[in-house]
Formats: sequence, C-alpha cells, structure tokens
Amino acid sequence: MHKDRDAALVNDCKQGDRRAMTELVSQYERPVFNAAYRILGNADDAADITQTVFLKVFEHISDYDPKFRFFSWIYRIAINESLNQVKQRRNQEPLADSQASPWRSPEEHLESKRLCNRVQGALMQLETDYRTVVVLKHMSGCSYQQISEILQIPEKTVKSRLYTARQLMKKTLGSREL
Amino acid sequence: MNENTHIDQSKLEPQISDLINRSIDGELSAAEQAELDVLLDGSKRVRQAYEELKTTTGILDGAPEREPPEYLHKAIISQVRLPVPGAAKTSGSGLFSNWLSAPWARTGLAVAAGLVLTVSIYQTDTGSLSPEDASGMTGTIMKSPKGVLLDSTRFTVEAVNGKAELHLKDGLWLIDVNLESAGEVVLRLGFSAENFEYAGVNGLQNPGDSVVVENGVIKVSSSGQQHFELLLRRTAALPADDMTPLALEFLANNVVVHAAELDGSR
Repeated sequence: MHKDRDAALVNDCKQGDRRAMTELVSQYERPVFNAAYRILGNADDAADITQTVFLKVFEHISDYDPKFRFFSWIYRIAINESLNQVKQRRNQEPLADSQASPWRSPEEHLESKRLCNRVQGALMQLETDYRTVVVLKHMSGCSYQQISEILQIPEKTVKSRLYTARQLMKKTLGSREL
Repeated sequence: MNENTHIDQSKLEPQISDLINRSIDGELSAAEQAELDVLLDGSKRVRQAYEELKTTTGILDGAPEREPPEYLHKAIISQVRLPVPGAAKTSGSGLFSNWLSAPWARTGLAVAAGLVLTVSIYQTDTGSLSPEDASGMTGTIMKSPKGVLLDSTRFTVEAVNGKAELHLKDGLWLIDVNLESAGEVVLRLGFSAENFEYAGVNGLQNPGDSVVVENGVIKVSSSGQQHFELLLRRTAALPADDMTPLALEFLANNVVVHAAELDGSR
C-alpha cells in the first residue's frame, strides 16, 4: 500500500510499460487472491477472480483517477467481483475446499491448515456484508477509513458491521473449540 | 467503574463495545484508552468481553495466508494488454466520433490508428457449446488456455501492431482476438465451410460491435480495446491436422492493414 510508488507504477502502465504492470501484479496478486479466497472459500474461484480483477484493472488503467489510492481501487474491484460470484452461486453449497496448500513444513502445514480451515469455515457462516469487513480488517489489514473507502460505506457502518461480525465469529470459533 | 454503579445499559453497552473494539484495533486516543482502562479495572464483565474479543481477533489476525496457485502470475501477465501510448479509446458517439467523420481524419487514422492485435486459435472440447452458449460467456474470464500453439503471425505497420497465434486443444477451435484501436477495426476470417462451422463469439463488449457470418467468412467489427474469441466447430470427423488454412484480414477504414494465413496442418 505504498501510495506514491503505486501512483508511479500506474503512470508507467498508462505509457504501456509492461515492467510496471508486472510489478503491480506481483505486489497485489497475493492480497487480491487471499481476499477473494476468504470471501469465496474456494481457491479455484479465487484464482479466476484474481485474473478477472487484473484484466479489468489494466483494461481501465487509463481511466484510473490518481486522487484515489490504487490499493482501494483494486480491492474494490476484487470485493465486487467476489461478491458477484457469491451471488451467482447463492443457491449452491459453499465451496470451502480442503485442497492442500504449499505450507512450509509438515507440522506448520497441519497446524496452519487446521487454523486456516476453521477460520474459513467460520467466515463462510457470516453474511457477505459481515464477511467482507472481517476479511478487509483482519486478512487485508485495512483501517476503518480504508474499508470505508473500498466499500464506499460510512466508517460508522464499517464499525457496526465489524463489531457484529466479530461477535458472530466469537460464537462460531468458540463453539469449534479453537 | 463499579459494577453497582447505576448506568443506562442500553446506552452504555454500545459505548463500551465501541471502546473495546477500537482499542483492539489500535484506534483509540489516549483519553479514550484511559477511559477504557478505568472500565476494565472496575468491571469483570468488561474485562471478560475485552479478553474474548482479543482472542477472537487474534485468531483472525493469525490465520495464515493462502498461496496463490503457481500458474496464476503467468496467466495474468500473459493476458494483460496495456494501452498503446497515443491510441485513444473511442465509442460510437461523442466528440471523437464527430472528429473521425472528417475525411482527412479518417485517412490519417488509417495510418496512425494505434492498433494492437493478438489472435489465438485454440481447439478445445467440442461438447455441446452453441453460439448462444458462447455469447453467454461474454465478459467472463478465459480459463488459462492449454492448447498447443500451431501457428502465429505478428505485424507492425506504423502505429499498428498485431500478433496472431493458432492453438489446438481437444475439439473446439477458439480464435482469441485482442484488439486496441482508435477507430473501428474489421476482422475478416475466412474458413472452409465444408470443414468448419461458426460456433459463437465470446467477449465483445462495446456498443456497436457486430459479428456477421456469411459463406465461410466471419466479419467482426469492433472499436476501442477489445478481447474476444471466435469459435469454430468441425462439421465432420477429420484428423486435427487436416485443415485448410484460416485466412485473416484486418482492416482500418476499409484499408487492409494486415493479412495472414494461420495453418494448423503444419
């Protein structure tokens, strides 16, 4: 979330600089993928959404207004795309997957995977409005003000949703004996 | 605060909750933190709520990140098309459109149109994909194509750049077109009507874009930045390499700016 650096890279992208584009992709690929994954609960869908997000970002890079922060813009697209995907499969079962991830060691793998899956399970029980603020706050590390900017809702609403979501998460995670 | 203090619970609870939540998020002022500290010292219930919330947020903050799949970075990089400096986006109306109506401007545009073309042909699962199915895919993301690259063409004419690739995979032929131009560009694709039939288009997005198929020729008119796919299906069971080359022509203002054949039989 380096505003000046991002602005410079975006400017270079507008001039057709693919190195700048690659740098932006490298910087935001992981957070965008993880935000999508936490909202969707499925790694394949998150990967598709991540591709869509970057294609849209660079397709419209000329329209990007530098007075807004780039990370807010890309997160907003990521959240909207993810929520659209959720709506499309509303009548389906949540696709929380148990696919193994490339964790670093067997012990870390097991513990991390267990924690990751439990948190994900609890997240998937939240309504998407609540899930989104939890993801942005706790997985993406955004402030209230940044979440407000990304979701284009008042800070007061951000806090209200976050507090309620945490209470719900507390109950769910507590019932899972975490 | 003493537990026996008479307080308006309905008013105080949200205030306490707000203080606790903002404290955990590091968003309290010094004065507010001091206020909360008093509450924590004086109320077991508040302390318990604080500790529980801290545990919950600790779990959330500590949830490990997921590694994106290895293919993802390359898939993104390979699909992104950046603006061509000097090329303007257009639509079918507005000031720029009026400017383009001037004959002198059109002539100049034929030479100067900032045009980037990427054409890929993939063969994928024949399945039951109908033209309607294909149209319904408009605006969706392409799955990372794994088709075999069979042929390609690339060109640069003044500010006009283009690239064409022929891929093959499993059963359906996809003609993947990336296009960026200041004005309208027409793609004419000739195919052997005895061997292939048109199976649909995916991805045309701008108002005024059109696809016409007549006598073994697909004609696509589009403008601005475009990424679309044309789909062809075999009309008869033939070996994959038994195909008449596909003839491509790209025209700007009725002038052919590039012509090529893509041959999958090599």
